[in-house]
Amino acid sequence: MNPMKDLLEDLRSLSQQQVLLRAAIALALLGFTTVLLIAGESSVYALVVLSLLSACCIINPHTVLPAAVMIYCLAVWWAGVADPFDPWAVPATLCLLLLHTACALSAAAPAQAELPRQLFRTYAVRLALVAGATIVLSLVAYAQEAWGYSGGLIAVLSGLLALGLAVGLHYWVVTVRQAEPTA
Amino acid sequence: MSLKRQSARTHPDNRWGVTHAHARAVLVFAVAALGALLAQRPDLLLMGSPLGMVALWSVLSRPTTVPETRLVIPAAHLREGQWSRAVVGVMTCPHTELVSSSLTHGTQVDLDPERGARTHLVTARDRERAELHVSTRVRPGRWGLRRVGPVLVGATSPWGAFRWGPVPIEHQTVKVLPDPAVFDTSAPAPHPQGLVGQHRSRFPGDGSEFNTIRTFQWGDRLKRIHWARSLRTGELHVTSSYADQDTHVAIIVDAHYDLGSSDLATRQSSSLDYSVRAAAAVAEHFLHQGDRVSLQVLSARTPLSLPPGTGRRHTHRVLQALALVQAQPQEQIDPRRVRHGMGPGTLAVMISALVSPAPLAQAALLSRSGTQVVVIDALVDDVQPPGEQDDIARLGWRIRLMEREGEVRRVRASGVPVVPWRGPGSLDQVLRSLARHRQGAAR
Repeated sequence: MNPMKDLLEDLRSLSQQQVLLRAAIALALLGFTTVLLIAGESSVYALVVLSLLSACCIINPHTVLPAAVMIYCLAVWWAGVADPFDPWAVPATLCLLLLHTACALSAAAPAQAELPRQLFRTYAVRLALVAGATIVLSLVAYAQEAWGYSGGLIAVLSGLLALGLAVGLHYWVVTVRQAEPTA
Repeated sequence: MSLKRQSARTHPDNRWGVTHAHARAVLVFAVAALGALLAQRPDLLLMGSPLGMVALWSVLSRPTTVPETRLVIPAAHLREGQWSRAVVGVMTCPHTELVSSSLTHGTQVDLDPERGARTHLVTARDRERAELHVSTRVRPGRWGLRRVGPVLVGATSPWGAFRWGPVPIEHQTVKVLPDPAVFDTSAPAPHPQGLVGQHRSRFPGDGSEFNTIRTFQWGDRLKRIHWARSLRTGELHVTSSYADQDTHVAIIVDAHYDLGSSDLATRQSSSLDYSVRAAAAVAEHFLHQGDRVSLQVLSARTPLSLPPGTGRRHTHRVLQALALVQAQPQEQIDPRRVRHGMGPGTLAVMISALVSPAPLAQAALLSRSGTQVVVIDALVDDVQPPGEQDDIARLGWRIRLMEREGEVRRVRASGVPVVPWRGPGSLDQVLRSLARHRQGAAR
């Protein structure tokens, strides 16, 4: 079994819906790059690397590459945008959400399989819900900034504690033993 | 019927595992939150927050039951070129969202969709049932025992966060019956003998074919009285008919060699394809006429034989036997075995590519023993010669064909008609001449 040959064969025989999902991945990354250029300053090298990673991500949405691309996106945003309350952060966030969802859906089915239309409708609703919640969260953050509330060291420590607990809880939940089939 | 339950329980992927998508959501959220806390950048937390929501949603909708799965071919038998379905049954479990199956191409089996990959979005209606079905259309391109599968089955939870499988399910073997080539003959079988067939006898008797109107004789059935003629003449007259007769048709298939290639897409058929389809067509035709048909396969691997029988069930038995034919040369053919069950008046139809002299010799022996024999030549023009097509092979093949012509001429000279298989009407001329020959002999 040759993985490269399998990958090329998969790309050659993509279903229409898979092509659409790959286009959504490209669109999300293009959107993020555009927002990044508008919101701050980025070096040409960073953009070239982002483009290369994007291409890899489109070809391999079912691997770890999309995670690497997203972490890279966070890093270039952190390095390129100085203002922590830049309003362009919201569209950039939505681009990352679209990227994640398109990659997840693309990896969920065989590359050659036709995906049901109903699946896209379901995910459009889900994306709208999560995007709505994100916008609400961003409004809360901007309101907090406007009121000048700052948590200081205690907030940082409690945040780190909450994060640690959340990751630990997640690990415990996903490693719970699964039930055997009853048939 | 392939309804045997297949389990993939022992496969290492037979569990719900975390996908790259879920790991990504958790990782990116954790990195973004950590970066936001350490670098005092709330925008980073905002950028990671939707993935955190997705991760939370995914964990809350994590499936906990491992489904059971099986592959079913609903049709007991298939005919070559006939579309059927391969159904993957997957037990419905809570929070399963998308079920995918990927059927592997078997030899001489076409799939629709072409690559055998299917997905099924689990709906509320599916969850009410114990099992959901993902169907892929399959079409065997050639008769015989065909493998459908193996198939890979998998499922994912919402947001593609958890995946079950893909687990492989063993293939199913389906018996594919040959599609009888179109065959029809208006000529009668040469030696009808029984009393249940459709061949008109030369003798009057109880049948359906009108003979004449004659005066009533002792023993005539009352229902045969011809009232119009009787009233007109004042004497009882009855309609007489010819007796209906059947015959024993012994089909002998020479499966020593299989020349050429077989491909449904390019409509290529091998010599054995032609032989088997011709045998199926001849058997179906004579059985439809009410004759008794027996079958004998000359092959070292599948030396099959079916005793004479009639009716629709026998047609199916013949087709099932033909579906098992595999080519392999036989060292020696026992003439007693070939003659077994053939009585006087049997019509032996030998179907052969005639590339080895043995079947021709058997046909000549049968003819000499008093059986009416017709040989059908299944080496149709479009059958390609065996092996690589270099100059030497081509020359060798031409020499063999010339020898073959000589052997066929010799057999013809000994009184065995050899007719090339051309589908409908292939045997008309031969059967008519045999019938004429018989009538002449009777006179």
